[in-house]
Amino acid sequence: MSILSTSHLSLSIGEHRILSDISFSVESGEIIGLIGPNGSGKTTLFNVLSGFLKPSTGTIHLRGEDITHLSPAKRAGQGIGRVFQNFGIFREMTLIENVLVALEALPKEERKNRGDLKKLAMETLEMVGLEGNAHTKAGSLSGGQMRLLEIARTLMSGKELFLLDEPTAGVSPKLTQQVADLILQLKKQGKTVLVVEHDLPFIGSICDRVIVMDVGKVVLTGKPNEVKQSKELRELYFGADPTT
Amino acid sequence: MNFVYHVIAIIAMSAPNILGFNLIFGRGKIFHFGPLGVSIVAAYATFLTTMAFGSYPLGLVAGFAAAAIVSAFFAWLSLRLDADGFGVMSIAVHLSLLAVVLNWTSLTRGALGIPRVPRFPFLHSTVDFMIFSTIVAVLWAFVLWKIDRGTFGRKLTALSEHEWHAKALGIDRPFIHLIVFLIGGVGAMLTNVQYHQYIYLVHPSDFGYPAFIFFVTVVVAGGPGSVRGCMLSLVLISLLREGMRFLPLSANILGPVRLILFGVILFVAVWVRRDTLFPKQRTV
Amino acid sequence: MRRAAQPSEYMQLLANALIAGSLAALIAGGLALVYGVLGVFNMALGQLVLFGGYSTWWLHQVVHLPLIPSVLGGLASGALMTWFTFEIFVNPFYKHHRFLPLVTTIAWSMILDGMMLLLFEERPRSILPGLKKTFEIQGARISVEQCILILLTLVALLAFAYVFHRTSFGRKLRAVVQHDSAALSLGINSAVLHRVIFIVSGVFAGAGGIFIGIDQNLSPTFAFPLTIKAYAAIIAGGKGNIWGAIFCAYLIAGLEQVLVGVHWFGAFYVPAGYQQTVALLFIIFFLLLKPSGLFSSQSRTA
Repeated sequence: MSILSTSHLSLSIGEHRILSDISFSVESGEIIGLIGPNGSGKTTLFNVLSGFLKPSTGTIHLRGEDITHLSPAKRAGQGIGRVFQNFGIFREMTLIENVLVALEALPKEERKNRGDLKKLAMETLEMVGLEGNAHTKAGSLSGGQMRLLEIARTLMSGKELFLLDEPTAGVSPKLTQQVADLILQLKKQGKTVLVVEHDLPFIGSICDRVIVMDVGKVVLTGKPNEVKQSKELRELYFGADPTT
Repeated sequence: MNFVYHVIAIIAMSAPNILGFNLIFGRGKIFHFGPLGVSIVAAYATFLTTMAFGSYPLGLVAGFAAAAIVSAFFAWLSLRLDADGFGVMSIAVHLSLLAVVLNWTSLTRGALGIPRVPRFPFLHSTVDFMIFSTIVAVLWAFVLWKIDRGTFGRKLTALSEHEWHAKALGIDRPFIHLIVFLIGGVGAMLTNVQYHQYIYLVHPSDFGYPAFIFFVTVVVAGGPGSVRGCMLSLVLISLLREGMRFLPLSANILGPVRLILFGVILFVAVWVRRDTLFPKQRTV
Repeated sequence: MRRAAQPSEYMQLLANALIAGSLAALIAGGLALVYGVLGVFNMALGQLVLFGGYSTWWLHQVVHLPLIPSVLGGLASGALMTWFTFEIFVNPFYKHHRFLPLVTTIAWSMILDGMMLLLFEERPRSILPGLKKTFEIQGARISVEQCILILLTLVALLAFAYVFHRTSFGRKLRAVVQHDSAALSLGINSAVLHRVIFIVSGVFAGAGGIFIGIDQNLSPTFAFPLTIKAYAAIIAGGKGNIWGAIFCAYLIAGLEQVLVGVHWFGAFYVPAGYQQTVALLFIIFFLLLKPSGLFSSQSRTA
């Protein structure tokens, strides 16, 4: 059964059609890339999927259950994790506090199963090599380190489905590889990932499938290689091909 | 009948200042909470100079100059600070100017105010004031309406909705802000020169925070930015305020009741206009 | 011929500064929480402060409840009134634009002012009227009530600090204050916590009002200057920095006492009317020269 599926999702704000008739489904364990020019509605789609925006029409199903009207907090409880474009970390808290607060927000039974949360938080930091900064404020990290912290924290939060919004934005090339490795690790654990990205080689290296959006619609889906060769994609990103 | 003329005169006199504020706050969406800071400087500069030198022309020059300086200062602040910072800052500047007036008693007579302010030589009776102020108000409203509908108004609207886009189109934000605040300064002068000579008195209590709330209530109720709407709500709210005097309530009940009523009016006005009062933002 | 200042004058200034500072810290601290969460102004803060004080006054002086229940009643009514403010004047409008509450709370402040004037009139009301017995510490005259108030404030601030920084619940509060969307996506119920924050700020505000009612007296005209002073503390402390706001509250209150209390150059006293301008000058100075406040965080913006 697909873990996530949307059916005819649309969102209009006033007269503006922001999303039109978005229907797709994602199988458990897939890494899906979501690409498209600026303003095509990718982040808006994420906001709808994670519950920050309500669609005008259409439904969202998680593991077969309708979650279209659940709040973001409840969707987190259902297993959706989100990484934000603008770094969803708490800058005035220390690194270890950042991870701790995520662990403490888990449903009660899960929390009990995890054991010593402080130890677990430390291990999370070790996973991305940030344990040396455990007691410094998160706001003093570099962009790449913030991104690693956010992904690591999301990894440990036991979610099933991850929505990563431009995880390589503001990250140095070296750390970008670390981000890619983390995402592949998620796949090994059987998790499902949707990634919004502009870094096309990055998408090509980790994704099983790619969904291309433009002006609020899905215009193309397929394996990364297929999509990369397609004429439509080239036109979308680079304008009409001058050589044809 | 004289009371009717008086009410018309008062409404017409207060119009220029409020219309100017409407352009800044209503149309420009600039969180200017200190227009009475301009007013108090304009009033005191005009009348102190007039009475010191016995010359109205000199007083008017001093008043316009002072109003222009304070207006330009506010314009500069509005460019330097973000929106809510400017809001708080403009309140602070206004209250500081008020504090100076209240405490520099050797110059301003502090809380006693300046009595026996002279009138223009050609204005004697209430009817004179009513006619004069109405003409000034109508002319000023027309000028502002023209400005609002013209290029300047469009540029101001563009800036208020999306600063980046407007700048990318070549709209000069510093210049627009300077002009709009100066227009506000002229409005302040027009109102204050008329009003204080009419009541023969310049008094600090006219420039406090409650007076400012009246401005906001009128502008929000009338439809921020609309010259016509603002004039209409000014007339209606002023009539309400004057009409309340005739209620069988003692003075120390009337004041609080008026406060509550105006608070409710402002609240309802904001609720009705909650989608249009401030420009839309993107959230997450 | 200059007169040398006596040590006892400094001690009196210090005592006055502590009293005024404790009061300001309570009010500014509560406000900083709210401002940190919503980034929005509550222009009715001063009125809410006085409301708590007036409630206690009414319970103690009119209904003749003993002092402690009256104080508790005042705190509860402050909390309830603040929660009401949030539900009616902030929440429905905040969704449309974050600056709308600025105007609606102005309207609410007018309504509250009117109501308090009708109910309590302009003449000063005191929760504990009559001269207080004072005693001397190192040359400073201070009353028992004032000492208790200073100490209780410190206890309240310390208790709050402990919960805020050392407990799981406090971490959730801080998460909601610092990045609401991220907190939501971790499963934290930020809507409930927003209300908790408002109610806590209401308790602090009410405590401030009770403080004023006990130490000085209550009059509706005090409301707006209280609002201004609280905002000065927040801006100077760095928006969203709660401890910065509390520190600056003590600082501003202290400077106000020093400004009018000191015999400058042995020659003159600053007129008491200028006392309020300290807060105004703080606002002007910081917004112009150091908008991030005294304690700007080290976070990188890129």
